Amino acid sequence: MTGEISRRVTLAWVAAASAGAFAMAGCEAAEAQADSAATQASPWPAEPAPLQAPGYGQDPDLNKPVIPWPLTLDPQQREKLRIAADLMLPADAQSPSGGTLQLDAFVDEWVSAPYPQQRADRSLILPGLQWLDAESMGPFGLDFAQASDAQRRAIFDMIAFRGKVKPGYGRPALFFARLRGLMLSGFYSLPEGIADIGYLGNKPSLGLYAGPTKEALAHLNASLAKLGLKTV
Amino acid sequence: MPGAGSPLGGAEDGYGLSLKEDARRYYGAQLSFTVRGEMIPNKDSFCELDPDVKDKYGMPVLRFHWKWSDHEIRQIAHGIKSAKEIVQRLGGKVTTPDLPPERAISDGGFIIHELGTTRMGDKADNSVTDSFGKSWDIDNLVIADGSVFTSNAHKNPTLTIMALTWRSMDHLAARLRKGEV
Repeated sequence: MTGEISRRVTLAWVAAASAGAFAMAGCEAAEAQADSAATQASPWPAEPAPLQAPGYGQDPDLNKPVIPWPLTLDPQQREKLRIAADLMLPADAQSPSGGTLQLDAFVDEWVSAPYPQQRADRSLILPGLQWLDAESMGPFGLDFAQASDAQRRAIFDMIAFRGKVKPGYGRPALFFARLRGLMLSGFYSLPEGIADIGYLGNKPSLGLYAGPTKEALAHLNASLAKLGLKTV
Repeated sequence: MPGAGSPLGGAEDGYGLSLKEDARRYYGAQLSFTVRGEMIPNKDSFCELDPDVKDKYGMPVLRFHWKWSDHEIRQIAHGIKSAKEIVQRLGGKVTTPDLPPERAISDGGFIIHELGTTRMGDKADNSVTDSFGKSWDIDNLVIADGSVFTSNAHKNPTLTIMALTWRSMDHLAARLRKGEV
């Protein structure tokens, strides 16, 4: 994907990413546990002012779609997101990096939307991006965007791994987990991500269903036989 | 479609190339089962005329009483056990928390197929209508909707409501032709 990504694309993405439940309970438990220990983390920045933006309303004209809310992130926030996307999902032989796929645009669309889940994420992710700067400035004297990848990884390593979150870093860990969930959602609902995991679903079949292929049927029967069940 | 904030079903951890490897390993590796069953009538679930509350026309409104019975609780316990056995037999790992059936079952009214309250039957003393939806008490009243169901079947009821209505209307038309109504 090249050039500036269209609002329409990021929105389709948001819709895809919304199509499922969010499992955050585990993270919250981890946070509570971690925060009971002594804190050394940079102070957690204040939550942003509540977002005032129009939504689709009750009965939008789907034949003339418009996106009523503006994007709200500034270039610095977008840059931090691009860097985080590259670190979380780096390029390898099977797919490009998260930053290359402009996941920063996806997160901007998400946290700028005026709906309850997106508002809640906004009040976690915006302070989190600010916190990354503070946490980087302390030991390294550089903000997150100026720091080296090794320095950025040193910050991520304190908050990214389950059961190994540094004591006192519970809230940053919650921010990281949420951002990672969004990055994964954005990445694997794009053609590049779908191709990477070999996802085959969500495709209409035309005409009468011809039945499974011989290979699929053989696979099914082999599995059934292995389980001691009747083959088909 | 891959999606959601926890797209790997809770297996998200760390970041970097290992996260991509985890995505390849865990996307589409989860199965979920929804346990649904039939609710049969019980003495704690009924509606009656409210003695106090009236609508804008001064008519008493309906008041509902509702409770799961042991039948549904046991049904859920059995369903959970069976689903777990299926997962284990397939070589999978059960990742949902172990809840007692009383807590695993959805709240009443959460999955809404409203059925019953004027059930059909073969006797006036244990039902409101006959098998054609005709009220036992009022000869020219036919009830043709989900209220004549005798239990809350777990499947979507619309087609059955339509079939029963068809049957009731055929019967009503026959009675009209004979001059009975």
